[in-house]
Order: sequence, then C-alpha cells, then structure tokens
Amino acid sequence: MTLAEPAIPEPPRYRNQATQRVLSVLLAFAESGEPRGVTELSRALSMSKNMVHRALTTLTAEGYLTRDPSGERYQLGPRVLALGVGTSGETDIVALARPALEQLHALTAESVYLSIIVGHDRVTVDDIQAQGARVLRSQRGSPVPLHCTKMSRVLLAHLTDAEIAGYLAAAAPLRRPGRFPDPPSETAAGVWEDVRAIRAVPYVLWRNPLLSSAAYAIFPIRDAQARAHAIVTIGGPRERFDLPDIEALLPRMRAILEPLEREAQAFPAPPFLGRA
Amino acid sequence: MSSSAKRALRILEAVGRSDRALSVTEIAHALSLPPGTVFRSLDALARADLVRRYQASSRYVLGGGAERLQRSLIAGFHMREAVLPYLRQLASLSGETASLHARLGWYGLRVASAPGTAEVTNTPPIGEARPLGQHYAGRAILAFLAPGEIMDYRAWTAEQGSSPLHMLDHELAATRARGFAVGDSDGGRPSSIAFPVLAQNRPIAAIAIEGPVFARGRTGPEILAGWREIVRHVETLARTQPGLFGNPFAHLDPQSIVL
Repeated sequence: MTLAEPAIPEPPRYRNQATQRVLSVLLAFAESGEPRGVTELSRALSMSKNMVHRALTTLTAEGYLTRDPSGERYQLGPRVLALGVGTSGETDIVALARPALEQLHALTAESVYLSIIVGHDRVTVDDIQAQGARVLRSQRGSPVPLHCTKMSRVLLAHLTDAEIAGYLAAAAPLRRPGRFPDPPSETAAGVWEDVRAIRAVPYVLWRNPLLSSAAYAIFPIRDAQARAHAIVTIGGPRERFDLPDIEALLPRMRAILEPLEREAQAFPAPPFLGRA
Repeated sequence: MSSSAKRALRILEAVGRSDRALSVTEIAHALSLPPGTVFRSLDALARADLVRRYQASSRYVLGGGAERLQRSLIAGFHMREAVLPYLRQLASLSGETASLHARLGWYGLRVASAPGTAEVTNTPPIGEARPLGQHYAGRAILAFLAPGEIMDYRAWTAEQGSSPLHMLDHELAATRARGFAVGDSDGGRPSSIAFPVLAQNRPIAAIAIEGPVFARGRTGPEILAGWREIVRHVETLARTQPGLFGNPFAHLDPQSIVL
C-alpha cells in the first residue's frame, strides 16, 4: 500500500495504530509454538485479512516470522532470539519439590526420595539420605522398571489404562529386578490388580509382607488431570519407622506436601512416551 | 510496508541488547532518531507488553511479551518434552545441569535444561544460541555432520566475518574419535561434556552436562558409559518416534539464518 514515506508526517495516532497492529500480530504468536494462517489471525485479532497480510509481510521481512514448512502458514522466526531474553529454566518439578523433601527429612529424620518416569522406568532424581547405622539407601539415577516395586507401580498407576496396557505389552515377558520378592510384578494380572488398589487411595503406606525390614509412605504429585509428575517417598527401617509411626506423622507430612501439590496442578505432567 | 513498525522493532532490539534499562534519550542517540519518534514507538511497544518501564522510572527494559515470544519459539522444539526426563536423570547422576541443544541453522540453541542437584551448579540460559563451532554442545553436532556440511559451516562463518577457531578441525576430529565434545579447559581440565544425539547417522541435537565433570577424576569410564547409555535411550526414542524430534526450522536454509 505505502509506496514511500509520506512527505508530511502523519498524525502520531495513525502511525501508532499501524505499529500497534504489526505488534499485535507478532504477539499472537506468543501463545503457542504452532504455525498460524492469515484467516485464523484476522479472526482472532478482529483485523482485516489485508491488514494481517501486510503485518505478516513486514514481520517476515524483518525475520521475526518465517513461513512454516508447508509454506501456507507462518511461525516465529529466529530473529526473536536476537531479543536475548535468556529465559531461566522451566517450571521444574525437581526444584519445586526440593523444599518439601527437606522438610519431610527434618520431620522424620528418614530418607526421602523424589522419583519420576524416564522412558519405561522409574528413576530417583533427587533424595536426602538419612544418617545412621540403619537407613534406607536409594539407587539414585538408576532405572527400575515401572512394574517392579511398589514405588514404581504408584507412578504406573497414574498413567491411563491404554498407556499401562501399552507398557505391559512392550515389557512382556515381565522382567524382574530380582533383588526383593515382589509377587505383583510377576504377571500382568498382578500388576493390574495393584494398579487398581493404588488408584483407590490418595497415597500409599507400604511394607513388603515378604520382607521385615522397611516401611514407606509414597505420595503421588499430580497435575490438574491427575497425571503424576513424580512421587515423593519417605522410607525407614521398621524398628523406628513402622506404619503406626508413619500414620502418626501423616497429617504433618500431608501439610508439608500441600503447597507442592497445589503448584504441581498449575502445569501439565510430561507425556508418557516409553522407548520400546 | 510499515516503516514505523520497523523502527519499533529496531528500538525493541536495542532494549533487548542492553544489559541495563535505557532512557528515551539514550535510544534516540544510539539509533539517530528524534526523541519524540522513539517515545511513540516505546509507547506502542509498551502497550504490546514487549517493553516496560523499569521500576516506575523513565527507563525501559524488555516486557513479558518478549519473554513469551521466546518461550513460544522454544516450545516449537517438541523434542524438549521427550528429552527432559532423561536430562533430569543425567542431572541427578552427575549433580550438574544437563541440557538439550537443538540445531538452528548453523547455531546450537539450548532448548531445555534440568538443573543440577549439586550445591553449586551452572544455570545456562535457555534460548541461548551460539555458532556450532564456538560451543562444546555445537561441536558435538558439527563433528558428526557430513564433510561437505562442515565446509558450508566454515564458509558461513567466513561470511559473518568471524574467523573459525584454528583448532576447530583438530577438535572435531577428537570429538569424532571420543564420541563426545568437551568444554573449554578450566584449570587444565575440560569443564563440560556434550554427546551428539544421532538419528540415521545424522546429528539432530546434543545433550550436554554443563559443569566441572572432569574435576579431580570425578568421571571415570564407568560413569561415562552410564551417561552414554542414557543418550542412547534418547537416540532409540528418536528412531522409534521420529515425529517427536522434528525441528521447526529444518526447512530454512542455514546460510540465511543470522542472529
């Protein structure tokens, strides 16, 4: 439209409006990383297609937008990075959970773990190790299959039925870690039965009936869709941390976890991808 | 084309480049524009939340809109979501911050990171882009590109007027031999490590552990093998679910991308 800079300056309001339109088209791309087309933008911004088209042309020439692979729509262009915002990290469940782990350890003096799903496994990604002669040791960073151990199955139980079925099909024949007896992990039916039991309760208090050594409280940390970001586990030797001891501390444990549970509702848990 | 919009974008970039809040006069001087014009542009930028006044002063810094734009661009790299759990696993094993670097033209772009759990850790910024040859994560990608592509990279850096590191060929050969790139020396020992993520023998990204992982024999062969194994899981994922690893800028000519 504009052939050249007009000789007489336009009134400020008009010029501002033209700029404002270009900037609002740019800002429309801040909502998602997905490409957008002219028609869709003109509807969303209540601007004529012609105006949107001109704004897109300016922004593309400046490198702030670029055509998407189909050539029909537009996406943010590399030039956006020249603004050099340097965003600090994302909302990170490990960083969010750290204060709760510290408080739970201060409350119980026992070992506290934060575990997430990595591929087809449970991995403990943060922990505070209890001190003393008899304490629980975590295998920090090492993978445990999602069907093996109660802790793993609390993460597994918060996947959808289809995801669990997919996992079990890919994991068949069910591999056993072999360190501890764990009958539910031996068959798909056993896993499903335990999944249903776990889903019926908000948290799991657990001691392995085939072992006499330790007791655990396992809390899922869920997003708004009840998918699990992670589990927080507190565990100790039964001579001082048996189920009645845990039950006595439960109200205080839940109070410590409450702010974390609230924050975890605000963003979605990662998708389950598996790797098989 | 709207030249007032272009002017606003130049002003936006000036605010973004500066490491402190800028006044109207400073911007006007730097860009050789009349202060009144700068003020009107800043007003338009502020309405779009691309800049804001710094603590109620008359100086300007980038606004929330600029950060949202950058986050949105980064969110287009869907591989972030797939790789983040593995980064957390690496961060918990190493204690250092683990990050994912994707290719953007001839740059490596940090698109995700999981903070380390050690007492002192690096906090490398997400959205930071460095030419491939100038950063260990980029070199982990560059080393595994075809020889012709490495020549194209050299031609591009020459075009940018920056002379490529004279040790680059040596460093890339060493990276190929080791299977990973290492960061610049920190007191005689390299300070970070970066593994290429290969799919169909092409590097699609790099996974870095950013910190003094080689200090005082911290990282023996067994530990390295463990990290490599995790990167291999990511490669398996890239092979079996390639849709998760698409690069939103793969269709652009790398020669044309200059930041």
